[in-house]
Amino acid sequence: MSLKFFICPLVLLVVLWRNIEDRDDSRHVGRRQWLSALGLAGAVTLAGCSGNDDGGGGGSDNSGSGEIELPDFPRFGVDDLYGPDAARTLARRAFEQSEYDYSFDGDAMVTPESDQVEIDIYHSAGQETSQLTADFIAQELGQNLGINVTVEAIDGTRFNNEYWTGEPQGGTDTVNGEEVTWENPTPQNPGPRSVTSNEAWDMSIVFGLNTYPLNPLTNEAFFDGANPFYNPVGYYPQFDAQGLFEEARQATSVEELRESFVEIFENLAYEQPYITLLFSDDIIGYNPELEGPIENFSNGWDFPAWYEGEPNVSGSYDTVTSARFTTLNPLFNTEDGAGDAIARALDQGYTFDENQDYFPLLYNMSTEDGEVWTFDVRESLQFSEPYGQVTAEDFVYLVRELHQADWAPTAASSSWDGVTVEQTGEFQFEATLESSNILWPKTYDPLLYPIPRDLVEPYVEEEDVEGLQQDEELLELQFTGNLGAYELTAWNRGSGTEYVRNDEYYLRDIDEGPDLFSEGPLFEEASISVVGEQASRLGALETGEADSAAIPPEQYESYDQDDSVTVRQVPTPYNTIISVNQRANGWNAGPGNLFQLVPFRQALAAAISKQDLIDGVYRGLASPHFTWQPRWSEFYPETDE
Amino acid sequence: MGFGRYVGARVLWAAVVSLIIVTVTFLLISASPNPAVQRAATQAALQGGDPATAAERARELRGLNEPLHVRYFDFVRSIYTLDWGWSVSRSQPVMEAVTQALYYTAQYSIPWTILTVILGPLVGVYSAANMYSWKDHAATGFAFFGYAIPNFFFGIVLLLIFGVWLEWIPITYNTDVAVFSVENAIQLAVPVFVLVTGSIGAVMRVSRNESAEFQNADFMKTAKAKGVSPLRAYAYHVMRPTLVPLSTTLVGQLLALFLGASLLVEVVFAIPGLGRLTYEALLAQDMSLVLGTTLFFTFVAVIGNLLEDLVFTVLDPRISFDDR
Amino acid sequence: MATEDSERFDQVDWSDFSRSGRFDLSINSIGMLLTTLPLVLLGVYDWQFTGQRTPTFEFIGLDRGLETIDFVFIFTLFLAFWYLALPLYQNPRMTRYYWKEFKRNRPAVVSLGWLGIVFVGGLVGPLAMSAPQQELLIAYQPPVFTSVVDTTPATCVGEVMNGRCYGTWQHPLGTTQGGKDVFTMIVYGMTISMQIAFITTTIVATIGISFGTLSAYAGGWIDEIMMRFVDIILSFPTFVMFLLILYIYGGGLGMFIVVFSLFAWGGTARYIRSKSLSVSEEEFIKASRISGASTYQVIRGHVVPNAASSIITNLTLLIPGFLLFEAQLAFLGIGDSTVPSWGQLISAGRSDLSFAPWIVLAPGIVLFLTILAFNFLGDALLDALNPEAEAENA
Repeated sequence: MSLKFFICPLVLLVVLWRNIEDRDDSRHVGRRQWLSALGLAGAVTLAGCSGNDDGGGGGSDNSGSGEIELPDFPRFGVDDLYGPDAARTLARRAFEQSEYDYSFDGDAMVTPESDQVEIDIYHSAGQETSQLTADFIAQELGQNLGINVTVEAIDGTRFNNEYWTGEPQGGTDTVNGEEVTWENPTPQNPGPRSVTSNEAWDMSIVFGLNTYPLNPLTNEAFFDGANPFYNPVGYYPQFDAQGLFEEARQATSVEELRESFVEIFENLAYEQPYITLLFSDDIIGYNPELEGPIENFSNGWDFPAWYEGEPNVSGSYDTVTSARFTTLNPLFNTEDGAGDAIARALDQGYTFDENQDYFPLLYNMSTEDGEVWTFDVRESLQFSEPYGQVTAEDFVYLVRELHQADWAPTAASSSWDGVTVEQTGEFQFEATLESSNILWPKTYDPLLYPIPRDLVEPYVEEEDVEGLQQDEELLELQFTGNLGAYELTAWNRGSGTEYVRNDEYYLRDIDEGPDLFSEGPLFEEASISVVGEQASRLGALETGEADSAAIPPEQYESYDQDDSVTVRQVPTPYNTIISVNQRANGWNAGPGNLFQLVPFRQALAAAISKQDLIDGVYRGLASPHFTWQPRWSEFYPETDE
Repeated sequence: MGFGRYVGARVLWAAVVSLIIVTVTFLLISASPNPAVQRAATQAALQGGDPATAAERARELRGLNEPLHVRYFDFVRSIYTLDWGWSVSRSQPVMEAVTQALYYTAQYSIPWTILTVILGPLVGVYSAANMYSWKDHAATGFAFFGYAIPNFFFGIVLLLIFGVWLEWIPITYNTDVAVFSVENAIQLAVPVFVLVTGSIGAVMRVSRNESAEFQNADFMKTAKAKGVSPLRAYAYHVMRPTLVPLSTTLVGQLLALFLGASLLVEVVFAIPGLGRLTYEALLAQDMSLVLGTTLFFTFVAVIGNLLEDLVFTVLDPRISFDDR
Repeated sequence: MATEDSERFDQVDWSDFSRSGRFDLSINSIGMLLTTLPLVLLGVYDWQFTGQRTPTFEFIGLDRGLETIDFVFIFTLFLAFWYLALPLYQNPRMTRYYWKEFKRNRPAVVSLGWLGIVFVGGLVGPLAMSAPQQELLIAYQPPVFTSVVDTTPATCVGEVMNGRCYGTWQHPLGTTQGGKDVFTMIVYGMTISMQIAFITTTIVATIGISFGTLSAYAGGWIDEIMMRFVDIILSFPTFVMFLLILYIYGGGLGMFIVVFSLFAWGGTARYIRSKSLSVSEEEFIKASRISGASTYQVIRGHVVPNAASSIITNLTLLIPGFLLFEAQLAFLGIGDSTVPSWGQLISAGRSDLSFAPWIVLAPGIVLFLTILAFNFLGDALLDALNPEAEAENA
């Protein structure tokens, strides 16, 4: 063993030296790496330094594994781009690029000090699927890349506060040879890579991100250069992301948008800023008598038309959810679950129907050039007494004095940056964007709740944020008038919300939409119960105590066969990804940060079998994720199917 | 010392203890980062404002700028005047959150306490009277079973059997139901059953052991010789001295169980009580609520210990205050 | 007898006859030192000289590592052997008597047997079986002799008949949702339970005994102060405090053990104090004081051994509390999820209870039996070691 210590480095040195001389500079970057890797591996094998060459092709693998050619739209984790050979070849390319001497010692990946590389991966505590995925990833990386991965559970909020976000500091750094300044640092992108969060971490699957399939331009928040709004991992794009996004912004039709996005998505698939794993559908079990749920991204848009059994008003619609609601104050709420709870009693500006087309609820949006948008507010909307009718003034005041004000941290603040809003009539107002965006409604930015001006005016004058957050009328949704399908009768913080049918619902009198809207909603009562235990939620679904509940993938088949439950697969835009920390507090296995190198991220992607993960953890009920769009999106690069 | 002065001294001591615990809690919490400040920074950044100034303002608003001792005094004062702040994770005042949760906790913990206190000593004395017979073994076995089986395990199994398979009880707790109705009794039956079987074992065993000492004491033989009926002999002569050491363990046990068991039972049966309140507050890093519940439990524990001591001295005439 | 040389009782130099001088060591202590020394050396070696990732025993070629907690566990095992097990052997008459009393309680004997299995399993198991590995494709296998609807597992190791997948001896207790063998995990859980039991008990015992006996013996205002301190410790809402500490600062099994034992010794101290008080009132203590024994000699030689039986029973009854507590924390999701304890298994399997009940039932029943066993044991010890409580019925 001791002899190897002396001979191997010598051989390595010699081989490296020779390879450097042999390098052909005219080749593509990728090819050059491939050649030197081959030579290196071959010479090392000859000297007997490569550790155990066990059966299954240890030696032959080393020399044959260099054959990797990455297409324009590489699909890592399946077929040829999966396995120990592919992963190790890609990893070796990364080692070349790194200034530190990482290598493979037999099966294990070792640091320059010859310790095995050990990194950790965080997953959401208490979530089975998350834990199983993390365990699987650890196993795959161990087998295919020789990395020792430690699995850690962590609570989502804690991870967000201590690991994912950092104190915004700003700064400057060189990206692709150019100086980039972080002028507007955010907690999710506090500055260049040197600016980090409080705690060190290597990998995480705690958060999945939205891929914005309705309007992929929104993804500029993630990938528009190195200093966009949301970049917790510190990814510096090596392709001209800013240029391509700028091109996309100039697009005047959906066709042009689609074209410019093909190149963006190809690059994202190549560079793997986040290691993309899969898209899983939401599996929801419903009361079999329930009419209305569809297996569509916009499932639930026509909720007032849902009924049980016969299309007349009867019964109660009860759902169960796992997470409590922090607040029901529409101005400050940021949670999905609470958003659903608010939506029962208070409509927002618009929604999208089952064809993903704009459907106006409170106001109709129209534009000619994509830059100036006209909002036509319905005239039949009423707040509760004493606030009177809903007019354009309420919306304009809301945007100007709350969303655009410095002192008020409302949830929709960032949506109205740089937008000029002006009232142009009693029921009409206009919004002017900084640059044209034909798909502006699909970014959900112009979505507004109706809030009476008189209610918030006193707080605005005092700049009283706490008062606004704690105002009882806002919290208990007491001002909603005819603006919601139901009225909130009780919010019991520990156990959920209860509603009663709203006879005055404005949607009954509108022209658009399905016929049943004129009678909606078709339940006397509704409720949302907060139940922490998954077994209890499913039990409630089985016994009929709940009309819908989410079903975990491993139980899909048994519920599918169950007559008392109808199961539907609803697509979601959220993906499952591994976030790898490219900031200074990432890569805690040794010097440098291998995550910053594209080939290493590719190696990670190649080391994990997407299909095995889908079959094992998701029972086949998910699809592999290669680039930043789900397959059913109209912007998915179809040509590379 | 006299009884009055003794009680006075104990109460004073209880206040001191609560102050110490409050201090320790305060120190623990101030040592950890305050999420509200971070939130303020986030929001400011979202609007292109300067997060550093926003964080400063947030600190100012919450008085976190003040030196530690000023914050501490403010903190102590607000605690004892019952102004416990606003819970961010529930959007209501902390006092309101605690009282609401207490309302639900009381609905199952009061029947639980009553049943344990009544049934426990009875079963224990009965068991001691028939020591080592099959009755003793059966009673002991039952008590041990209840004590040993983890509450949460028992709870989920029973919920599965009676809720999902037999559908005799509702699976999710309905807060709408009137407190004294049959429906409420049904949905609370299983949680209370699980809790009682858990706590009765300890109580029963201690009372069995303690009363065993007295079964064979001389005064019992005297009573028997005198012709005192066995029932009166047990009830009056045995129970009274048994209650002395029993009360100490009783209060201690109940308190410990109250806190731990209640949280798990609430999680399993989805009851929005005090235990879950604490737990969720912790997860949400809602510091004012965490403080509020911790203090509540502290006060309960302190008062419980105080009661334990007082009961001990009242019941046992052998103890003179001068010795302590 | 020994008083031939002196004329008066108070002139006898007791240190000539008794071995309880301050620096005389009994066989037990010598043995303890002899075995602890290599352990400490190994520990230092592991800490300083081996890299963080290298297994401790690599120098002999074994791929096994020892964590800090394992070292502490082995230390407590040595303590238990030299100071509990060996004295039993050294005093055969007492041992025989205790055993006779103990045997009368049949459930307790069975419990002792079960605990013996758990103990041996915990020590030997991890050496004999390799750690459970995740294998998603064989998740949800049913235990042997039972079957489950065949849609539940992804693939079936046993045979499939009539749409049901049958269990095999390969996985006698089935597998979890991650495909780990439940039986192996339970055996590994035995180690964890034993570690918790031994280590927390040792810490609690040490602090509790010192506090309690000292306080009882010293009396006066020292006693007052010490008991007030115990009051404060007892008044801490332990569970909540623990949640708080663990949640804010994070922590694994070691943290749990340390923090929990720091809060749990209060009750023991109080109990021991009251027992020592009653022992201190005994005549023989006064006798030894009169004949010149120092405080330390009295406590160590007379008070502790006489209160020992109560101490032991009290401690035995604490252990199930610790195990239960750890399981509760695991259920809440606050415990260390990488540790394969029984609580973690129950917690992980609870959402699958309706269709894969063995994942919860197996560790649940094992946990239940262990806690039950400790309770029976403690109860029987109480009866056997405490003659005052003996009933005349038998």
